[in-house]
Amino acid sequence: MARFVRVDHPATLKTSLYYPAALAGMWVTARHFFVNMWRHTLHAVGIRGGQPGSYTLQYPEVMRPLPRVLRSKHRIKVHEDGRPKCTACMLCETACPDFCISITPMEHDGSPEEKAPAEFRIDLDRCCFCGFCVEACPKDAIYMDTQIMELSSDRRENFVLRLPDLLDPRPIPCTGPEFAGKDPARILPHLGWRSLEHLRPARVDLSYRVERLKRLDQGKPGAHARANA
Amino acid sequence: MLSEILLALAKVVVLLLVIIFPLAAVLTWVERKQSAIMQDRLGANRADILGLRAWGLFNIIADGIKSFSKEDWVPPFANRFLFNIAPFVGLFAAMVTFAVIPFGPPVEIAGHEVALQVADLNVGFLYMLAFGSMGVYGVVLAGWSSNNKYAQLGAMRGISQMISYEVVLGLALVGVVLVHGSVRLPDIVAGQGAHWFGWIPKWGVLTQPLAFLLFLPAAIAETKRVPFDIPEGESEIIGYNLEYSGAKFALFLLGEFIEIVVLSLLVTTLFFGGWQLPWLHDTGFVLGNGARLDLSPLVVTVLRVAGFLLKTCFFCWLQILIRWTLPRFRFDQLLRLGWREMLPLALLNVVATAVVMLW
Repeated sequence: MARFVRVDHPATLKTSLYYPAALAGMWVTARHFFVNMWRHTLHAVGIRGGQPGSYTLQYPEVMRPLPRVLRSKHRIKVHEDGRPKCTACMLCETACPDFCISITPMEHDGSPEEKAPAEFRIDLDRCCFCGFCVEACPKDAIYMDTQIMELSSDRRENFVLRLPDLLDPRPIPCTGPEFAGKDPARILPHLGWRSLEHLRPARVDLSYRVERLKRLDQGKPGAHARANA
Repeated sequence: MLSEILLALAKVVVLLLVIIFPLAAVLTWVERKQSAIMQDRLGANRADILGLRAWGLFNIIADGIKSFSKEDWVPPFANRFLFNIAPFVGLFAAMVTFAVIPFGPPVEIAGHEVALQVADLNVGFLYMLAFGSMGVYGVVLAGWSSNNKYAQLGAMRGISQMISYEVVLGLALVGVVLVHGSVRLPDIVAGQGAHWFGWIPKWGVLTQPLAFLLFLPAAIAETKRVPFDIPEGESEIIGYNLEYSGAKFALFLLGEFIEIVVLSLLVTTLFFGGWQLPWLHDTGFVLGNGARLDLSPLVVTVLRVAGFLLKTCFFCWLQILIRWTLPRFRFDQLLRLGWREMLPLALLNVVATAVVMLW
């Protein structure tokens, strides 16, 4: 309990009655209640188009479009023939402040660069998503624009990405024709808050993850435990 | 004698199973949904049975299953006996108050006149106040037996708050008693069936407006809900139920929701005409200008009971609205409000009412 209470606003009759202020507050919340109930009722009987009754997004089913500048799960770009653009120059491994990247280089006679990663591991448990690897890459090979940020698992091994998990020619999930020509970073603060029309179901490609999990489960779990530091 | 006991038991069972438990259970859902809608949210809607979500109604069942399947943990430093009975004491005090509330006018069943009330005590009013104040024992025992500093702080806050506001509560109701000249609740309800000039119903809120304005906050303080949730104060001391888990914690919550129903019933009974509806007399609607609509006694009774329940639901809604609108009082503000502002007003109301009634 406060022993000394400094009163900046001395009590007036209106404030010490409490009822006017309390009723004013209840008027605001009750108005929200009835207006939202009315909108929910309109929606329930099939009248669409008005203001939404709530601004809640039903997250797993509906997802806000993410800013394109979001740093999400890594990917390594590939050439048209399918070989990685990465030349195993080790710059990203050097730049990484968390020591989460570890590259095993190999010679690659078939490519002009003559060098390629034999193994490329990113330990997401260590990664702080700073994006330094992306900036360091001289070949524009590593990107963090997959927009996959629901990274959860109950096994540590699943957080170690290996080369097959990273070689990802897929387009960014949240860029589609409806966002063509728009700068998501600028329009997104308004999207999803002003109107539900801009929302669409998230394209969460679960088959991709299931495949990856299968691959990881087939491998030896202990194989990824090597410390990178 | 036996038939009377059986009748009373039947009333208790019907009352509990038809009105109190369903209402309290649905209120847990209403509280979550109403607060969500007030705040432009959607609220709980994920629990489903075979894909059917029913606006989150199954969350009631999910909550029940969850709380009853959790570990019932008694802290090793607690007083086991008191710790175990405390939730039941609180629940008991909340539930017995229902006995004296008249839910409708007496009805005639098979030649017998049956009061829609469990116990028609001639001291119903005092009974209600007495058991209302027994609610403090649940808080005190829970806080004390937990042997935890914060639980004990919550209990101490609870005691001083509930004792302070009981005074205001009782004094505010003295005015109502003076107006109706009786402490029997059916008399008070019957008295509110009269009209001024045939138009304005003599509801308690109109005969005793100040008493109503004092009773409502004092009664909310008795139920320990926001803005008077200082004994719980989950953002500062977590409160008297700190050490409780599982089913016993759920009992505290259930008690809180039953108290909401009790308070709504009391406000309706004392200040909003109980089962009386405006212009509805025993024979049907009679307006001030003599226009009348005759109804059969059965229809009148059904209308009255429905009106009573509707009013009760409205006050449940209002309490949840208050709970999700107003911020918590500070403790010194609470006591100052109770003793220095509400108590003098309550005394003034008693004196003024007495003078008017004498004159």
